[in-house]
Amino acid sequence: MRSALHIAPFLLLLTACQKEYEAPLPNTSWDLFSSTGTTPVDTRAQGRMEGVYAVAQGADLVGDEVVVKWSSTQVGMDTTYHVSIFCGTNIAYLSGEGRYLDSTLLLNMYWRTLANTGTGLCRLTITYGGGVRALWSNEPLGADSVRITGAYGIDADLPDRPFTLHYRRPLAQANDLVVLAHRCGGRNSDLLPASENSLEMIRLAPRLGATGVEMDVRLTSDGVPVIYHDETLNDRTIRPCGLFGPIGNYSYAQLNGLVRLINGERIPTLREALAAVVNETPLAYVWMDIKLTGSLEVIRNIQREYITQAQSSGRDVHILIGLPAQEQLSNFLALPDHANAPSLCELEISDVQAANSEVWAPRWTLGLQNAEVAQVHGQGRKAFVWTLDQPDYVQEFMQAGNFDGILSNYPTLIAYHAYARP
Amino acid sequence: MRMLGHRCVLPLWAMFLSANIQAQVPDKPDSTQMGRYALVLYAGGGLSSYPAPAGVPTHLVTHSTTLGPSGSVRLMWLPDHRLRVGFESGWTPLYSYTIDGPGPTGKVELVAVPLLLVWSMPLTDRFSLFAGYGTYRITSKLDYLGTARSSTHSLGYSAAVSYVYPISEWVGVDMEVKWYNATETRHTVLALQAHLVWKLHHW
Repeated sequence: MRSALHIAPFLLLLTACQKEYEAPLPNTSWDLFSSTGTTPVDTRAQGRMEGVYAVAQGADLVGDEVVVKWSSTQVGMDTTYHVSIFCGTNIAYLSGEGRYLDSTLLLNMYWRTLANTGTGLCRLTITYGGGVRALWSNEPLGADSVRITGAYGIDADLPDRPFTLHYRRPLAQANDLVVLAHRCGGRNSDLLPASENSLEMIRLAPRLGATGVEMDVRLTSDGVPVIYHDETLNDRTIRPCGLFGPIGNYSYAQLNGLVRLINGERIPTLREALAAVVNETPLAYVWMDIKLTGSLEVIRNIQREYITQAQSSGRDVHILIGLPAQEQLSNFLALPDHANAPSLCELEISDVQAANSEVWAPRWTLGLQNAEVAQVHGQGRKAFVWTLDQPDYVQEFMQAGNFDGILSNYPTLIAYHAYARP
Repeated sequence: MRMLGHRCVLPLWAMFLSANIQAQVPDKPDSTQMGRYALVLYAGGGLSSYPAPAGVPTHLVTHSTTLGPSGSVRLMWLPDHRLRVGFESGWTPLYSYTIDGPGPTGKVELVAVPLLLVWSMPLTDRFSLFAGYGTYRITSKLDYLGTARSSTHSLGYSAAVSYVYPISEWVGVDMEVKWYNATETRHTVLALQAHLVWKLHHW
């Protein structure tokens, strides 16, 4: 008995370990892909390549069917095109770039499964006869007209597991579902390659299938609106720097100088975030989740400025002031021009009407609410639902619900179901 | 897998309690006679060290200090059996660092005030084990482009080994190796302290 009492604590000690979860992206350097003979993929071929593909090999990673979609980001005058593959299994996605080498299309990608920490390389090709000829032609694509072949690897290993996709059909027609990425793309716990609520995550969002982003707005001690989810600085959101406590205790200069998000980025200001959305991405919706409790005047001024900037660039970006509670609603109604300020209200439909909100956004746990959704549609408003992550419920809401947008931590999953709809 | 000391509260308690169980196995049948009780105060200070890497911004040039003076005070109730209980507080630096650039310079200091319920058990006449559980008030002081101060509470525990040298029936001195762990905020301090041990009252 005595020896057991001695041994038990040491057994407990041995088991008292905490696994640190990581999913570092592998190095995607590929000599062939970056060789001097390669050329960019033209946007026409990109558009024709988009579609729903059957998975002939690699279904254990991505499921039986995937969606191939291109997106772009703009930095200054430079546009970068990215190809993404959205999956219905393992909350998996692939992201990368494409280039021609002579008449072969190369896709240099990485994959991640957000259901776990899986990651690895994926190198794919479309040969001239296997699909490039069809992409360059004017004929409608038929089943099997494009074959994407190659391999994927696990972690940093070179790809050695066969991966083959066969074109099946175009993306769902008239797909106007707004895919909203929570915290600009996803939570830190999902180990994405950028921190939640960062400029880098905003730039990543289109590659994750998002057509809009939700961001959390707080004020620093000197009144600068910044994008940050939690009330306090903490280990979940920032790298250790000896600072903690309410973010409102610190000035913007202090946060900007000392604090770095979990992947090394700065805490962005609201202005920087909206500038990134308007100038660098094709995102069409911004849901500013207002976490501050005072006057919304400064938010309204910034909103007005960036709506104007988007319009002057010929873009229709819906920048919405999110109203999550009665306090924010009251502060919003105190704005002199609140009726003209685009907003999103999470409260009752009567509150939505009082704020003249463009969007009503109830919590998903309240159910499909088809009658209420029809009511707001009848008033000329949209209805978004938050925060929908469970694959079964995603399918239910998309099949039986009438929401115009879905906010999710897994925009790749929403995008898959949106584009793969029959 | 990484061993994290602050995740080891349960095993440490299990070790402590298992030792206690063995220590309290009676050599003789229970007596209904009550022994002597006492209140003992420990007060003193020493040096503390922050053994883990200090959390500093890696994008700046910084100079960190992980060694500093600390103090503690503890009041223990010594009953007529071996398990004793009391309360401990004090003050200990965690770490500090200066920001030497590029750009503005400044300083960050972190200190902790433990507020712990403490149990102890003598191993011999002069050696005792201490184990505490409670909260730490952690304060961060920033002097960089203005000043800011934030505090938070963190659940945590402590463990210590002490050697007491009696000077008289009422007074002694002890040397103590102490381990503070603020579990929630992941701060650990190792301290070496000397205390004046004063038997305040006995009955």
